[in-house]
Amino acid sequence: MKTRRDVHFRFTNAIEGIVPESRLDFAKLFWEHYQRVYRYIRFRINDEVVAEDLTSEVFERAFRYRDSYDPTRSAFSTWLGRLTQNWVSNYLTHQQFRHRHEMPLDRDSEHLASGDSMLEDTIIHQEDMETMLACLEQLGERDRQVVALRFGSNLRNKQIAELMGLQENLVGVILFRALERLRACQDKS
Amino acid sequence: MNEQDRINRLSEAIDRLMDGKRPLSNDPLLKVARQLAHMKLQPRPTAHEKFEHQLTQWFGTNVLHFRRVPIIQRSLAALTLLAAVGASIALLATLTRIASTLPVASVSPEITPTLAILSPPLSSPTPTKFSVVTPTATAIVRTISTQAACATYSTIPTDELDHPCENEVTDKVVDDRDKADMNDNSTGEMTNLNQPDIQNGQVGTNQPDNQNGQVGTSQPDNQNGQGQN
Repeated sequence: MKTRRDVHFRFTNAIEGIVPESRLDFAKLFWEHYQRVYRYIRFRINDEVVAEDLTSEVFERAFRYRDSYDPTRSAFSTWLGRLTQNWVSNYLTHQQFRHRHEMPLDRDSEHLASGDSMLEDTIIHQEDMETMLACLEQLGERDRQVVALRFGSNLRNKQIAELMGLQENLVGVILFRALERLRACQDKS
Repeated sequence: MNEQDRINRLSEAIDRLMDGKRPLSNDPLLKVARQLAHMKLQPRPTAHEKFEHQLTQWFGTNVLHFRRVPIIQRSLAALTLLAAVGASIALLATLTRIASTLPVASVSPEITPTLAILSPPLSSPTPTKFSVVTPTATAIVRTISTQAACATYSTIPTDELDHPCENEVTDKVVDDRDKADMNDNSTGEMTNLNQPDIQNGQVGTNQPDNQNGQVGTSQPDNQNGQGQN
């Protein structure tokens, strides 16, 4: 007999894609979540190369422990989000990665070279993005984590609450405060 | 509006924003949220390729076929295929309907007379051409070759003359002479044209026109001695 919780998670998985039951399903989920994981890590760590390496490591762990994933307990994105969150936190703890990371100039040019034809708009957008990433670094760890899960991994407040062990309302409040701080930071810049 | 209401409305607006819909709120914090949502944070192509390679190693070589054609393109391709199949079926149905409306018996009588009319002009020129043209062409060729041979030998002295057209032309001249004799018997002279003319030492038939050795009507009246056509 299916419980209400099972139905909920089945529904969530149906929205997000498929319930992985085969290697092909896992491959597809991995591929679909690659950008999200990268964005989440990028929100938390302002370094492109480190973010790429950490993304790869997260998926290595996901592949290694894929048998531990239970679709009846959580959505794949939640499971992967938790794994990513723990891995990034471990990295930050062990590497003492708390200082600000500047984006090297050569990576800027690489972004511009592969960007849109409107070079000026791209430069402006790039500046805005750098400002935003710099402001994100000024947030507290929990706020930043919530912002990364919401805008990087595209998780809903409910999923973030589940992932972080918080009340859903509290997630909304944290997000609200974080956005206010970011706006203040942008106005200063 | 208290702060909790604002937070709730902002959360809903962010949900809509992240789903790609238009947020139903004018909260100034939405601008920040929009910037965060639209930040172009993508791994570099090399990292992408590395990840693809990693997936291939983990799951096999054929697991990434889904990513090559996005779902929208796959859907469009499927719709196009369905539309093509539907159009083909409709076309076939229309053709079948048109064919069924045509009377079957009226088809063969219309075609048969057409073929009957067309066949005589196509077949009639063939026997006419071969029956009429072929002998005429042969006769002309023979005449021309004979004349050419005679013309070649006409400049050679008569006593050296031993060419193939001699007898032929002579016979022809004899025939003409006989005809002339038959028409005009007043002279009563019979000239053996096969004998050389003793006075002139010439065979008269192939000689150019001269006073002593005129042969008669069949001899051409020119220096080259071209034959009669």
